Amino acid sequence: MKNVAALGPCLAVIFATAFGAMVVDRYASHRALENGQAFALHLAAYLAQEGDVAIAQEGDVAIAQLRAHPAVQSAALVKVVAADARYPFLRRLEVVAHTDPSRVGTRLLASSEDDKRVADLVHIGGVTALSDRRFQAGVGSAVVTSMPITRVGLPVFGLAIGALAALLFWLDLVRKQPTSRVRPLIGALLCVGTLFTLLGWRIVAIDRLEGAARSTADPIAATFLLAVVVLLPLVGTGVLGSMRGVGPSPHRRAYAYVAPALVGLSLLVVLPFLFGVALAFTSEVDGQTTFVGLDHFIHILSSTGRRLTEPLSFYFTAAVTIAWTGINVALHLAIGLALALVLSDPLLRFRGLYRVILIVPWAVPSYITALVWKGMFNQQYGLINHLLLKFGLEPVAWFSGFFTAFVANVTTNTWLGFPFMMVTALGALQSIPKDLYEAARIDGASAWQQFRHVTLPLLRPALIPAVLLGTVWTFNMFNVIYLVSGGAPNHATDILVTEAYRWAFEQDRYGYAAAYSVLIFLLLLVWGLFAQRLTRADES
Amino acid sequence: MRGRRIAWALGVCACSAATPPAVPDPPRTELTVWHSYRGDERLAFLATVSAYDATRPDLDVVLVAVPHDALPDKLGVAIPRGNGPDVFVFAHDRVGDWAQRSYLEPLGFLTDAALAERFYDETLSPLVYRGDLYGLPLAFKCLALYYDRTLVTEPARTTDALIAQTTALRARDPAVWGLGYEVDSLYFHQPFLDGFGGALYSDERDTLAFDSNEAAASLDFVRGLLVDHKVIPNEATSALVSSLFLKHSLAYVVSGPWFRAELAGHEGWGVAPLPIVSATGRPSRPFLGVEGLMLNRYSKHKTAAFELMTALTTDDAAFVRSQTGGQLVANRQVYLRSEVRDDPFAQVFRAQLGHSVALSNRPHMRRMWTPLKDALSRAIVHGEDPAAALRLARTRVEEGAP
Amino acid sequence: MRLRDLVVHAGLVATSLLTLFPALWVVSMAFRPSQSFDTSLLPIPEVISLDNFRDLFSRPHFFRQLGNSLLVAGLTTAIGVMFSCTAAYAFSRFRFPGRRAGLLALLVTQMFPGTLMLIPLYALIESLGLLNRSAGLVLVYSTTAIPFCVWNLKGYFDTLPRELEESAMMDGAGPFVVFWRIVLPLSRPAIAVTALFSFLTAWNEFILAATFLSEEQAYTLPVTVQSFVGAFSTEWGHFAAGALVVSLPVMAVFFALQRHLVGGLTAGGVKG
Repeated sequence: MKNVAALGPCLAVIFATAFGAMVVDRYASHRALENGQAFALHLAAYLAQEGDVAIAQEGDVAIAQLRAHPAVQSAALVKVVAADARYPFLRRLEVVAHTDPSRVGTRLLASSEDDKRVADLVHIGGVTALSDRRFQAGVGSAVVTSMPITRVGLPVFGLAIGALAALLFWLDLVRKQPTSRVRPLIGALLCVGTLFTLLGWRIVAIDRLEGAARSTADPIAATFLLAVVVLLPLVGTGVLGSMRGVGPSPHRRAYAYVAPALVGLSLLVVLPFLFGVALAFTSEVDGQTTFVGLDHFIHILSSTGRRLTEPLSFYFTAAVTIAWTGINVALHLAIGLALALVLSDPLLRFRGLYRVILIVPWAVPSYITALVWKGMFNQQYGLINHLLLKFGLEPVAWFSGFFTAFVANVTTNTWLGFPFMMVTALGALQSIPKDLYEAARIDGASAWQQFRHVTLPLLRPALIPAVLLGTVWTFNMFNVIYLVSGGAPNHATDILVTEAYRWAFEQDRYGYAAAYSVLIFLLLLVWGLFAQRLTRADES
Repeated sequence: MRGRRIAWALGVCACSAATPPAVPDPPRTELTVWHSYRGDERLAFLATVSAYDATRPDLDVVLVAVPHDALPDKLGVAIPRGNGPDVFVFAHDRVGDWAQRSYLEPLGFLTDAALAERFYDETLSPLVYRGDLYGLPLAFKCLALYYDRTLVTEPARTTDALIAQTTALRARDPAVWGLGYEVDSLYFHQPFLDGFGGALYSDERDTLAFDSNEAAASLDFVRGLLVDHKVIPNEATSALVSSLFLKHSLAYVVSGPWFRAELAGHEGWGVAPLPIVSATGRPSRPFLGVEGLMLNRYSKHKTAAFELMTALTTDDAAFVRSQTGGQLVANRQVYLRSEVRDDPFAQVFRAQLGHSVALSNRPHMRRMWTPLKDALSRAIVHGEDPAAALRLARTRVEEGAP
Repeated sequence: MRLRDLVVHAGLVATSLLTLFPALWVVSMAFRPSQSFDTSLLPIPEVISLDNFRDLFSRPHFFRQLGNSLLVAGLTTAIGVMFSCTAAYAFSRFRFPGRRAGLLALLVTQMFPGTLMLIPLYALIESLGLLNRSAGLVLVYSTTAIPFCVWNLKGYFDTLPRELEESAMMDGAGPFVVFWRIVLPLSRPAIAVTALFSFLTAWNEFILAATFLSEEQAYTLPVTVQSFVGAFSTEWGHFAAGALVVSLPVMAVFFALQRHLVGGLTAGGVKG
């Protein structure tokens, strides 16, 4: 158990510093946003009560207050005035009060750098106030400030230090004789990184004020929260384990070999994944994100008021998805393996040519070839119905029925997918020693018996990865269905991932789509755990 | 091996010799513009941008063509993080969403009446969201009726005339079809929906109204065209429609200005306004889409960027876009110039602009497409009850509403 | 024997034709002077023209973008193969705590649908300072490719007999030497498959590339090809020409790699 410590530190160091920096960064910008907006809104609201007459006087007071603030370079109070009766959306900004008294009564100039900054901030404070119903009747005024701006790339700096520390850690772990001398150095580096990120947040906050109106979406913050929760045990075991000096000596080499792939992967996959999970519990309305708990999941799993066997119910779609995946993978495997067996014969002429031709479906971008297939399935002008007619059969309205539309999808995807399986099988076939076949032949085994008793069992371990991952990819293969049948008829041929895609990109409900994605993930996870039992048998 | 190394060395020498002596450049402002124009439209847009760039030694305008499908998502991730362009071109239907997310700079403070007067009012109002203007219109797109001159001498003005003409054509030659468009697409169905008196919303507050008797009547009507009169080919995708039209096997096509590019080199076609719906006597009004220049809220050079936007929407620039790019520009004055005045294509679409319904720019609108596509497919293609299909679509849209 | 060969070839020719047939429409569209989608019954253009290719090659930065694509796909292949070889070897040969979990983790990374990954990936690449750079794409693509690569190589390593390595160890070779001198050369077929897979993962991708890159001279080729698709219409002629140009290097890479798909293990290689 203590050997888990080995992987922990490497990952933990990078994550801890990077997340630390990002969390601080997010927090800072939130605070800046809140402060800036609250300030402007407060003054706007206050002045609104008094009406236009009072604005001039009160404005001077506000300006005086702002002037006293050390961060404020210039401030202005402006009034929004309708500019033209014909075009109600045209507005003007008139200066009511200003740190430069000569500017009072003038129009805000688009050409002045300072005025531009003022105008920018009017939109943060003032326009927000305007669109809020309470202020709509009376007022178009806002207090604006401009502040000095410094840019420091602290998150990147924290990440760099984290990466350096992790590298040292890794090198330390890879060495034959573990030394404890490197560890204090790593600890020091970590402290410096953390200190910098923590100290830097004020500067970052001011930096971000400029873009203060950026989205306050919660999912990102929640991602970090989740990340911390998930990673804390890892960090704990990792750091504690390494501090106690129980280095993973027997397995150091193994961890060293695995680490580079896993570190990159965890950075680029874990965080987006956590983001998706966090998103599944939120809902966004008019740019405001709210936490909705399990609502989306309940909604989806209760099949949204539909009968379970109706298209668009989660269970129907899941069944279609499983059928789609099973049939496709079986076809890919059968065709790919058959072709690979034929093409691996070293005496076959034009072997290279056949191989290159048969890889074409994989090489050509599927966006266009999937549409070509859709064209071939056209009811009136498609090649396939034309051939059916030639052979005296009835033409088929492929996309009008569930079964035929499903067949059209599967045909297209089989065409697109078999080359991958063929190439993988070609590679895997080379792992079978040729003398085994010779021995089998001497024993008088037929070709089928050779395949059944030599090829298949020996091929299994090398082919299982392709089948396993092929299953996952086919399960989430969205573009074929989207381009060929488009879910026709009436979403019956949609699979889970196309449904998730529709919610995200057609309905703009990312939270709901994320909940769908989480369910897809869970289904696949069950399959993955099951499949791992299959591979375990091979390794023993 | 040695020979190659020498060649490399020579190459380096040549390069360093060719480098001009360093001259301190005046500080230049770089403006980035993202667009997804293609073909002639892209060339025309490039021409207007570089013409303006040449007049401004203090400016560098960098154009980046982004694939259309990727542009909205790219803007969505780039703008809030300060990596967005200064100016970008997109259709107006996302304006509400982007304005709510504070991606767009409201232009009401920067624009004056003289600038607003350049454009048709119909092309300005789609860019207004909750009382603020969020873009300057470049061009508009809407549907009109293309017809084949070898099959139709005088384009039909009413749907009854259209049915009569096309059934006669079909009777003469069954290989010829009457009317082609994607019957299960809301965008293409809108003219009939409107002509029968239906609408998507009953007001500005996203109150749904498409499950009306009028809307059901419009579905019945198209079902009639497809099944009873058999003038529309089955599974009429845009690819099929254009290939039939190019073979002179299709009398009418409902399509937009983009269709002209596919007809390059093809003779014997014309454009007419969409027909009046005979059952109601109302014109069938298509959706109107406006491509606007929009200003990034987080642009570092808003003044310069707005100057660029103003320069790209002058009548002269619009004229270039109209002539080189074949665009239906938003500027009124351009349609009075002789080249455009005598172009029936531009004039027909300009007339159609007056009889069009702007696509809603509110975020809610994006939820309508798929449910209504389903309803159209159910009622028109599969012959289900239109009213029931529309009610089902309504449930689906409301389900989509959080 | 000759009859059997004839049957095999007949079958292969038929399969090849069936495979090529849908792709012929792409060829036909690429060589037609028109921009509309080819819905004709057979993919035979009436007029042959090279206009689409000429337009494509004369696009600004075209060859630069081709270079970018090659660079990104090449680096992805190199990094993907390198890291997955070491990892797969560890997973196959060493028994260490966390091994099963690690393998499962690799599989799990492929399970979450990618539709919502764009925003967090963008934020990550941005915070690493890799926006607008090939390195950012290489990083993302190689992490996308690695899970399959590791699993595939691990599966192949599992089939290699350990006796070879053990005897080399007894001859005094270090573990790295064994890995480098014995295991890798024997695994050429699987490495070739892995390399092709990594290459294709990076080669045809355009959504992330279009999002992360904001300069036309930094684009990869699929981004340019995809930009022929518009809101209402697509320049199919240009798209098809681009699709062909994009596929040719894949075929070339495969042609180069496929000679490694010949017997890694020789008959005498196995003791026993």
